[in-house]
Amino acid sequence: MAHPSQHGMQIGDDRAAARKGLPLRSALLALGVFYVATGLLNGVRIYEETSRLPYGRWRTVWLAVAWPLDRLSAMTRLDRPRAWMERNLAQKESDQHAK
Amino acid sequence: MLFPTVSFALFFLLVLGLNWALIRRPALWAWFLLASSWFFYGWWDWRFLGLLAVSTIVNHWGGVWLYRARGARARKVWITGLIVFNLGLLGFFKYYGFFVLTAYQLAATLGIPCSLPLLSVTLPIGLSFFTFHALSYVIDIYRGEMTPAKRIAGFGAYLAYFPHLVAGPIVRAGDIVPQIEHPPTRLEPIDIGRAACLILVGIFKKVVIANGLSARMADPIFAGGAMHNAPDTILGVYAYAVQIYCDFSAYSDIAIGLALLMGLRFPINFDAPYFSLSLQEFWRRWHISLSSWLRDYLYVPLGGSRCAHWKIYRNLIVTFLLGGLWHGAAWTFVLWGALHGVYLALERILQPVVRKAAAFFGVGSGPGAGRRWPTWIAHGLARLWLFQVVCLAWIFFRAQTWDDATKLLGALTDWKGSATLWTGINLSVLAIGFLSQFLDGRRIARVWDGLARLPPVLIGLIAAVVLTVILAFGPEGVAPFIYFQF
Repeated sequence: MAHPSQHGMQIGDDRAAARKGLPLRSALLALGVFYVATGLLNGVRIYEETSRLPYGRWRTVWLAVAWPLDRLSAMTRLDRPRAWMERNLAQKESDQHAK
Repeated sequence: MLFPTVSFALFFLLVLGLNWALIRRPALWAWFLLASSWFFYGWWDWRFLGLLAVSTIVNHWGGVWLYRARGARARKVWITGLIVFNLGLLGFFKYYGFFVLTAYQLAATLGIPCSLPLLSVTLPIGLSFFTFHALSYVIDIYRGEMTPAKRIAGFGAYLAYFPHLVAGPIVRAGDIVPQIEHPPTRLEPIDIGRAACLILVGIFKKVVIANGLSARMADPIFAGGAMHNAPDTILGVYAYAVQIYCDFSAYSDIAIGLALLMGLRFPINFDAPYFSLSLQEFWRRWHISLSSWLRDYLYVPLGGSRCAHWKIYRNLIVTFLLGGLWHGAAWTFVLWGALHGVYLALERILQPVVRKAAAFFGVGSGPGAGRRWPTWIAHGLARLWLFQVVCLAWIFFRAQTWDDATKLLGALTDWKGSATLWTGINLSVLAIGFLSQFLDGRRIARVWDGLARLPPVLIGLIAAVVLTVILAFGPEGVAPFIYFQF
């Protein structure tokens, strides 16, 4: 078989041999925290973007998924940092500023 | 499902959980990878699932019968049939319309009738990629470099695995099928530091840099043709060079990161290509999986570099001409590929001259190196020259038609007026995109390892904050990745 390094596999193979990384449970915990935190920090914007989908069954489904994120994000005020960055640094308009 | 979207995030969350729940049962895990990948593909367009299924069945069983065939003649018949099948699929779905239109134009020029049927054929997404995966599989079996996958699910999962299905990297069966047949145990660590950095950097390069360069500079210039002057045209072309690097390397980075989270290792696809000193080196750093595929399955069988000089040049031009055609059914892509082939041939021809010049100026290795000219100046000039040469070829790659390309080339002679695109923010975005090459390869391995040493909760929080910042600076919505069209 052709040497793996010729296909760019060397980095992954070296790191696997050196056992770089976290145990499975720790990695899944990190991912779980990432998903929850991302949902809370971006929930309001996710709901706004979902509401711009074309009308239909899928829009209804995605809105149902996004609605709890929107509510939790707004209740915990964790949507504020992103809104602030968009307004003051990225200079973007957002529907939430019209509320 | 595009990578940086909510729907993909939910899909991946579900798939990741099931992945690690099933990984202890390799047979079931392979079927799960196959099913989840087919679901991902069907989400794009369910009509082409049949095509993927046919390709899987034909190539798997074809590979098995090829392996079992006795005698050189029988093996040749099998491999020829499989190559014809795969190239036939690619040829029909991707190139039928192109060849028929070209035939019509040629016939009209020659004044002869042409009655080939004009069909409107939809190009299935990812066809170019999974066809090359299938070809590498059957050719490696023919060459005796690997044995067929034990199960059709193992081969099917390799062929259709969702992180690489739509836009690469073009992974080799010999690297991936063994990983699917002998999956990692749940005791093996997950390289989460590298995975997180690759995914976040990929999203940043795509959402902020590539989309920004496209909207601010590249698209207006390429749509405007001769309307812009030389300074703006040059900046627009540079912007496209960096945009396509950021866009494509972003997809590869995200694909590699997602695969790592699921316990699979992919090859890298980019390694700071615009820092290359020669075009030969550029093609060892740009779209590495494609250039190595073309080298192993086209260039080397044609004779490679182990033949007469004129044959080497022919092999280079043919390989890159076909490489250009692979990218798209248009003469501009063919011309882009041909340009690179000619450049590479010229580089070889001029190599003795360049070596003599380097020795004269005291540059490079060997006695006298650095005595007259510091090496960094020579390397800087070489990199600058390489970038100009590659950008010139990108004009043909990006232009929709030959006319558009020539208008843009014409605009390079117009030095009147002011450079309206040369603003601070445009130059900053361009510079950041260009310098993001420093994140390729192993250059930030310390960052990967440093991140992995933090408590898991902190890793998750940092990643969430970084992603939020990236999304705050990105545009509304997600533009498809450039290489989806190939």
